[in-house]
Amino acid sequence: MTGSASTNPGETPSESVPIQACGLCTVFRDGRSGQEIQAVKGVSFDCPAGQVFGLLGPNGAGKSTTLRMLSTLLTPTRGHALVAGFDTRESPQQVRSRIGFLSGNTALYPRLSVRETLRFFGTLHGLQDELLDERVDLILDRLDMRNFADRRLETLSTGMAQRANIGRTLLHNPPVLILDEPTAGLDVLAAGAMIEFIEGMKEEGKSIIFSTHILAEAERLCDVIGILNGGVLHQVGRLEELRQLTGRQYLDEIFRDLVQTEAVG
Amino acid sequence: MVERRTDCADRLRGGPSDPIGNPVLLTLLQKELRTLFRDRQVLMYSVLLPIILYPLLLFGISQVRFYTEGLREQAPMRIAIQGLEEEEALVGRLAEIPGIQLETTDRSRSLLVKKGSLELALALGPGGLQLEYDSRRHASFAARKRILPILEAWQQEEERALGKKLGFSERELESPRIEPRDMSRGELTGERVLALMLPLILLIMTTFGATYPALELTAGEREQSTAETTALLPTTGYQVALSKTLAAGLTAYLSLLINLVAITLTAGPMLAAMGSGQASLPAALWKAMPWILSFGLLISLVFSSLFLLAGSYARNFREAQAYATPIQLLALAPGLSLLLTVDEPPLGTALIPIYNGGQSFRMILLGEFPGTYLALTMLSLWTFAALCFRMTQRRLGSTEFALGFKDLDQQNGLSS
Repeated sequence: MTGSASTNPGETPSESVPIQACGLCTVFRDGRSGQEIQAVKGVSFDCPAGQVFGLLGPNGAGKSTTLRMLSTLLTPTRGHALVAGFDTRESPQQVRSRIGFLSGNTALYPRLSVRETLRFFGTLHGLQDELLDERVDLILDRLDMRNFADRRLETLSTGMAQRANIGRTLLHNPPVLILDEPTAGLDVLAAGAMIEFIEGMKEEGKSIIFSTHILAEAERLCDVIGILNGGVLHQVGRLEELRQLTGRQYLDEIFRDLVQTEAVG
Repeated sequence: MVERRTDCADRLRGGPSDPIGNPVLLTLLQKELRTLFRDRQVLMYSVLLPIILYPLLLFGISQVRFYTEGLREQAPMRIAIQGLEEEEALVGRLAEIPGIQLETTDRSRSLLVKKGSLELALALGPGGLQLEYDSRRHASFAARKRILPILEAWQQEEERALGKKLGFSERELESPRIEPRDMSRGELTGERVLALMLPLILLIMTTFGATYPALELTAGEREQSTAETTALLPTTGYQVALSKTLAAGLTAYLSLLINLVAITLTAGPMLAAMGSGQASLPAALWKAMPWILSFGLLISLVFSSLFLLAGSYARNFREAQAYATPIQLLALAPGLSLLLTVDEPPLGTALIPIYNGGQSFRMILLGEFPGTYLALTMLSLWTFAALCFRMTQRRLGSTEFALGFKDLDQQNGLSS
């Protein structure tokens, strides 16, 4: 399955399609019963530059597991993924240096200040001296965090901390952004700012994969939507294509239709 | 923004070799140390406690000694006397002791001593002077100690009087005197006490110094949800594990150094207050310092690796503390066993990690430098530290550590 446009002539697939997932599978072993549980079953898609790919599904559908495989946190049991041209299994470090990953579980170190945090991540991503200072200042300005730059993260509100987290994600200007339910736990204003941030990144030509179960967000942001349920990617397509396929107008109806059809099937 | 992106992209293409190497390790180490030294618990246990412990101990010991001696001098004693009507001199001397109350009682003396109504009972009969006391009660035991010299002097006088009655001359009655003299210098006594106590103190303080930093950098990360963030850093697992081990080890080592400084400043007066030696620092501690510093660094690394490993299995800080406590107690065992005097430990004990470190401390403090034992100790400690580090590295690099058990269960649909 693919959600991408075709590759332009002269470009290598990895440059034009920074995210490529091919038959990703993950099997967990339940510590209590010892049984094997297949959390993700043969998920395949790709996401070209400048596109937002939305992974939609209910809780436990396998969204986070899929994104964690793309970000090298989990190794696929079967299948493979290429991110920014590198295989996640063979070159995890190269992949990690080329992505910005943001989720509800990626908290920042609470005892560092915002500036220290940005400098820490920047240095690890190979930014040094003037370039590092320049990038840190740019991010602080862009996120309107100058006045909070020297405050420790443990003293900031959730919204402010999330802004700092966004800054951390963007600092090394990665070509790929992987966002796992980035608005979860945020208030309306902070969630709105996050949506605007994703739109901005899309305009800058980044390849963005974004998981959510908030359908309105997906409807607003995503160029291509993948419906994931029970570890299976049931359908991938542009919103218009999904409308045509189901005969429904709104995404929540489309989603229910597709998920229920599969469940019955 | 777009122009900058090109710069950054170039830099990234320039190679992942940039982020790998010493600058990365230093950046990671700097971050871990910042995190640790901004944590109040770490500051409390690794820095503040060693600074205040020894002056407090010194103050405490001198105060307790002063207090108990004062109490002993002034404590009231109720002593029952029976059959001493004719021994006016003895009764007179007893009556001069401050706080004494002499009572003549007909009731059962033993029972009253047992009950605590009396501290002592003295009864002169045909068999001699009977002294009844209760060793389980401090007051009774202390009263016995106070009047015993008076009774012994009275006994000698009685013997002399009897001898004179029987016609012995003053010279014949002169009994041989026993005069005990301690030939050791005060400094040497101090060295013995230091050699006995210091290894235990250093082991305990290094254990404490390593515990909180190690748990903070493992279980603390899990609790603060930063484990996943760390797993996403563009570094190798080896670099992350090494930076944590060095950060925890250096904090424990700093704790050890503060302990040593505090001991250096207070050991002399403390030993004097304990009645063991003179009020200056034993020279042995100065001589042993380079060795103590070398072994201390190794032991700090051993403990930090051990506690990092334990902490990496915990879901939160509280659970980690529960895992660390048995290790702390276990680390006490070799320290305590050092209190049992073994002048020459068998060579095989140099292979027992932690015990061998303490034993080496002790031998060095006593001025002994057994080369083979010390070399084996170094080797054993390095091997043990490396083994723990390897296990920690594997553990910190595991999915379970980065994502947490609960999270995996949720993914499996095992929890609600």
